[in-house]
Amino acid sequence: MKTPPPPGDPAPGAGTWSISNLQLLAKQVVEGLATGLHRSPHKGASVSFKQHRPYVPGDELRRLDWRAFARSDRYYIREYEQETNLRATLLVDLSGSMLYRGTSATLSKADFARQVASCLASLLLQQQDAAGLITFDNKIRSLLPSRSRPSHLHLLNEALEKEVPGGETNISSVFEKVGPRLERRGLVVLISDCFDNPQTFLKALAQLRHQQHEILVFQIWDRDELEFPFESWTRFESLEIEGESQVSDPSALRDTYLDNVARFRTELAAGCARERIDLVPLITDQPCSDALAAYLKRRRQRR
Amino acid sequence: MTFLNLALLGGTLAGGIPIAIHLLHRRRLNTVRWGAMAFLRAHPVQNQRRPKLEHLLLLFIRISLPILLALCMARPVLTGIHALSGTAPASTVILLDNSASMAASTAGRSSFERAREEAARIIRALPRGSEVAVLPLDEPDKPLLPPTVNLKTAAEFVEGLAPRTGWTATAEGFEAATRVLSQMHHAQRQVILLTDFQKVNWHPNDATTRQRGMERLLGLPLPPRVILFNVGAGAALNVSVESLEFSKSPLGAGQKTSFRATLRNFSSQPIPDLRVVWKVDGAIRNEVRVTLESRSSTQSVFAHTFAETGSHFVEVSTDADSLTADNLMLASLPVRERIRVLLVDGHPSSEPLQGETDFLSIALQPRPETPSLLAPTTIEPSALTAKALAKTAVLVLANVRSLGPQQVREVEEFVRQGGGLLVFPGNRVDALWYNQTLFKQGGGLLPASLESLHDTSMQGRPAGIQITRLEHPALESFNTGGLSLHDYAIRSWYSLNPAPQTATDDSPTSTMISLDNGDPLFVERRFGAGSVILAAIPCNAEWSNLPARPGFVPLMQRLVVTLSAATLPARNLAPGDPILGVFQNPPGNKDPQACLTRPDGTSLWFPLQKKGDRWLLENTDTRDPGLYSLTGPDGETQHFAVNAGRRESDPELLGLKEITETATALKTTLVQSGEELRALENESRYGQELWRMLLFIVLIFAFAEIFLQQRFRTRKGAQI
Repeated sequence: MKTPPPPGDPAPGAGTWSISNLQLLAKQVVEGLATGLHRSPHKGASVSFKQHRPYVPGDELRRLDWRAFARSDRYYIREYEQETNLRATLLVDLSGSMLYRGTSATLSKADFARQVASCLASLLLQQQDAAGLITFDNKIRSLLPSRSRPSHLHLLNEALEKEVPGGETNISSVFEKVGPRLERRGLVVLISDCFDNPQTFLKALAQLRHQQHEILVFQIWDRDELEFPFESWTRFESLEIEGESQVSDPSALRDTYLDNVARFRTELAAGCARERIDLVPLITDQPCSDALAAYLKRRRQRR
Repeated sequence: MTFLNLALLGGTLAGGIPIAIHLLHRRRLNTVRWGAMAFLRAHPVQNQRRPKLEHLLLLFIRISLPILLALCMARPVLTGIHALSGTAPASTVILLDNSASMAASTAGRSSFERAREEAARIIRALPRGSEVAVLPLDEPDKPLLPPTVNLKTAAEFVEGLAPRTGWTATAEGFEAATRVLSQMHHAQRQVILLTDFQKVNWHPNDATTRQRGMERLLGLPLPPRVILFNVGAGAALNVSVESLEFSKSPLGAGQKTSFRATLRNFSSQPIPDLRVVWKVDGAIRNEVRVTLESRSSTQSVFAHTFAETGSHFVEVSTDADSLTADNLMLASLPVRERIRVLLVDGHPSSEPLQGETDFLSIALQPRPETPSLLAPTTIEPSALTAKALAKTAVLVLANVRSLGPQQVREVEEFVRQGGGLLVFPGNRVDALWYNQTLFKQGGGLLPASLESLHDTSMQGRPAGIQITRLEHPALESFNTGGLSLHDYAIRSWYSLNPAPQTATDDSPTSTMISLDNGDPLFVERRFGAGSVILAAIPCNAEWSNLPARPGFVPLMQRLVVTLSAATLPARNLAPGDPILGVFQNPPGNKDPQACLTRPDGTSLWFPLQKKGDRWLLENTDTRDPGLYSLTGPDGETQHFAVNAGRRESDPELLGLKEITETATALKTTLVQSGEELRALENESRYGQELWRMLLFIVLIFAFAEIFLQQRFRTRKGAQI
């Protein structure tokens, strides 16, 4: 019988994800999904009317509104809303805390985040939207600008794969640097455990939101982090800060810990709701596809 | 600082247990690499040094707890400071003078009654939890009351005590108190000696011994406070029967014997009409009146003839005074049946005192016209037959040349059956025959062989008798008294060569007495059930002046009585001497017992122990003076007289100045009354036990440990 790895150890094969694995997974996930993240661009009658303007020489005659001419005996040109493709940016947290893999999980949080990012990227590109990628810990590690070419998925997966998780988390600082780079308003998808100071984190989210970006936060949890199942005396060694540790009796610590987690989640949820940001908790012991499908279904129903 | 239970200090090593637990615990820790470190802390930002300080504080408390508990159990005592209160339990040893002089009373109240009351009051006044022991000063090694915490019972016990008849052994009392006190437990210790300070018992000559005993007592790790309590009631009137003298020679039925009692007046007042009563076997036989001047003595004489054999006792007493123990004296006299002695004269003579046994015959029966214990009969060697030996207890061969083979066999059988044989050599004996036929290289009758004959009549100095302590029962009377061994002149003698002793020899040859040149004079050995004594000289005056000396008669009588197996254990004893009863067991009685009746009238039955063909009873419980009667399985009663010593008879006490000097020399505190003692007790006691304070600290630490552990765990998530 194979002995499961101890909790907290980095997932086997971390950082050695092959592109084909991610692509295969993304394909399977996307095929299983009924719809994408947003409406696809359309042309023709179904295009939304915006306004009339007087005809000037040079305008295409086919865009004349003959019905308006009949009613007013003047030439008007029909104008429609401009149709553009979505520009989505995936921000993937690859800090040290994302290395945790609990007793009941088969993937570390970082690997799970990779899967989520890959799936979303695949879904976006399939809808002919542009998808970009930023990986970070307390700084930006890599940045791929948004592209809508299908071949861009390969680059994204490659970027996700090559980054090895580690280092401290500082999402607020990263957001400050990311904000100016996102010129056009678009979709910002944050995939992280969000282990940061909730006030500064929410403040950074609000700034992005203020730039008219739509923000989606996939918060990655390990089951252990939610239930704290430890019993015997334990030395907790930090995954982010070398040398930081704490010896505790988990049974006596459990209540305090769970209170802290609940307070953190409540504060985070309240802040996101205030900024109309979708906060989607994902747990690593659940299949990535199921979790995404459930979220997209809820999102579609909301519309 | 000292400790009552020093061994328990080892428990302080338990202070290492929390450290060991801590180290073991560290080794068993699971390690988890964890991301959500921020949620492990109640306050994400806090002083990192604080947990360490809290941890050290708890560790300190946990280490301190077993150490303090061990210290508490070791019972440390802080000496040199005054106690805060006088309610701490104390260990008290009461040395109670219960000697005879304590019975002296004035104004109807004896010294012992006062001592008894004060002792009971002292015990009742002790703080709760105290322990007390009561030791008697006559026998300090045998506590009247071993250490006990039951103060009520102890006080009631003391109130029921009575004085005894021994004398005060103060130094031994201090030694015994040292031993008892070293087994007691409390830090506050005291020894209270209640005595009348009788002069003879507190003599300056004994000061060094007393001082040594006191130094041992005060040399204890926790020295006690020693208090001398004077309970003397004052000098009392006392007349004592100082001694009772009588003949220690074996006494036969019909023999008249005399008793002489010495009476002494210890008071300064003359006693004009003192009644002296003589009793024989409990019945008054004589009553006289004597006059006793102050501090003087007089004598009273009494003579009596015992008509019947058996055990008898004589008692002399005077009018009662407050010191009753010395008003009476007893004597026990066993009156025996006649002992038949067969004298074989090897060289008879018709001339007076020229025969071999003439002097001996006279010595054994000095007054033929009056009854005596010994009945000698003289025969010639040819008349020595089995018939002649039939009713004989002791056979004497005096200068007999030799015996026929049949006679030898009959004599051997006679001795083997329990008869006594006394052999005197002379100028007619055939030494070679004696050695070959009777000695037989040590396997025959004689205990020694006859070697060379020494003759100093023509040349050389006569031999004397070696002056040394004589252990043989027949010769013990020569150690003391008026019988002297100095002026004996032995002109000729046989050199006796005792039979060598072998490892399996259960009846070794013993030399009873020797000449001053080292040659044995009398040699003895058991043969079968009887005994044989061989002399180096004849029993007439040819070779020595022995028959002409005063010691000849008692010597010959004792030798014959000893050989007749009629020697009895001592019947006149001092307190503590063992009673030894010897009985014949009636046939068919498989479980013989004897009944011992004590002076107080109580009777107890004891099983007899078989030794040879006799049955013995030994009893050492003769502390109380008086008459002890022992009745054997054959109905025979033997009396034992136990007379107390007269050391305590002089009731004179030390003066106050002398008592004060004695107390000062012994570094003790002197009190004269109960009020004075109570005032002394109200003063502070020395030595403060710390175990209560330590126990209090232990409790505080225990509560602190629980409280701090809960507090630290709650605040920072059970980091401890």
